[in-house]
Amino acid sequence: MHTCHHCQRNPLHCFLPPHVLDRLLNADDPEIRRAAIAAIKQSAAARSLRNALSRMPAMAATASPAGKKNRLVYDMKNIDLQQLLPGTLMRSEGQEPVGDEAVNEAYDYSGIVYDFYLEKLNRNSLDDRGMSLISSVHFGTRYNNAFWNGEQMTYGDGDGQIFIRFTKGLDVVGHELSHGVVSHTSNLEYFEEPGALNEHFADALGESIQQWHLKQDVTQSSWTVGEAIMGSGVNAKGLRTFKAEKAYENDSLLGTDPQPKHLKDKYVGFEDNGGVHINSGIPNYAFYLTAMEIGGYVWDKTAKIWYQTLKNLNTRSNFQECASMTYQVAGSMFGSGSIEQQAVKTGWDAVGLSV
Amino acid sequence: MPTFWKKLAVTISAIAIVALLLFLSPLRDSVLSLGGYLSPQSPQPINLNSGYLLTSEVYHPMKVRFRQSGGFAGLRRGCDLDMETLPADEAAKLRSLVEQSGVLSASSSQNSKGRDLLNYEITVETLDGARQVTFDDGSKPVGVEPLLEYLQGQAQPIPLR
Repeated sequence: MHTCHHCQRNPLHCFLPPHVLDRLLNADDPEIRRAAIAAIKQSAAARSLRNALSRMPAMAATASPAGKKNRLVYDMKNIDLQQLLPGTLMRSEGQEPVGDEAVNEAYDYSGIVYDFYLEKLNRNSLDDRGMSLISSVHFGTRYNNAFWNGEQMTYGDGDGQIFIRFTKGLDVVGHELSHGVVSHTSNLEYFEEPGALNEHFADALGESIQQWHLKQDVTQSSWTVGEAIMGSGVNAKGLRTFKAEKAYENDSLLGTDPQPKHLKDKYVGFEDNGGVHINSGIPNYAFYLTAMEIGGYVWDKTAKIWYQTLKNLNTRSNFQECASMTYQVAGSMFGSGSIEQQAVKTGWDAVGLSV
Repeated sequence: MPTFWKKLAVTISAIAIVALLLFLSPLRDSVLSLGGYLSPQSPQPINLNSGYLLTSEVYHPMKVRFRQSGGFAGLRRGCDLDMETLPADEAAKLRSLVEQSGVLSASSSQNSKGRDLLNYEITVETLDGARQVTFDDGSKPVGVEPLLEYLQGQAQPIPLR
């Protein structure tokens, strides 16, 4: 007699056809059994969400902002359903550290990001109206990623091999939160050149935040993204580099860094939303060269030019428009023909864009 | 007596509400398929050991191409699996994962608000032709998770050019 253990107890636990799930649960292969159990957990989680929302519609609305720094860190407890974000509240603004380092890192680093935007760029949180900074940690199991879902940050724990927990990098946290700033300013669409610029601003502002926190001048920084989150199975010292070199080559887990540093090498395929994480290498390199030309601390001048540019661009802006805008902004900030404006030109020239 | 009628009315209303909710719920298909499963016409269970039988269908070759891109790291990973060259038990596992994942009938979708989401492309090629579905971490088809996890376990870095 064929039985369906889980479905007999509660048939609503199963999204999958029960006969399939039952076979998977009894499979010899532990991988398949694990996957089947995960599927059951997911459907149970989705059901509890629907129950909760149907009872309390207000839960679906975003909490109203406090008008100043207000951090909220949640725990997803390894569930990987975006519909269930943010999860269980673990620490809110002003509360003492908790026993979970991922929670504390998300709290501390989002605070540094908030301080940077306020003190250096005169911006009150991501929307410039003091919106709450919401982070969720422990998303999924061994999840090798962090993302901005349009409203909040979400961090995986990594699989240990390629990546460790994504909260460990201030540049990662700065990158994700800066996606929020982009959404609330130019809102560059996430496709092809505008999408690569979206990635570029997240990288450049994230890197500036890290250098500010470490009090590094442009010659002291390694200009590498993701150094702190690399796992034990990779030799690469980071995921991306603003410099001309490759961040990694022929790594057994990562492969070879695909980022171009010149317009002529731009990726034109469809993957990665038209290469948004690939082609960001081009403006990233221009940003780095400009910062090196200007010298000193990146947040004093270069990041300010870029931030004002971000506010002036629109959803469809391309590389050329971004380059021209940085040149124009540098001219109005520091004077036409100034060293700063010349530095911007030098940076873009090197990647094949004339301003 | 009023108490009896009151109780009866409440019971009938409760049953009606539950029935309506079930009908509207995304779980409806599961419930219906459970009904089908219990009925005499239910499909035969998958034979995981043979690698050749699935719900009474005759075996035919299947190739699965998986590509993952994007995410914070922007890594490009993937794998190309051909059931004719896989060991029988692996082929059977993959086949059952593909069948239950729903990718053969799922439509492509994209989450427009998310940033740094992982992007996925799964192409299943059979004698009937190739079927490709693309989605991301914010728009995963229901039930695709076990297949996705399996494919991610098989994936290797893929050079850009």
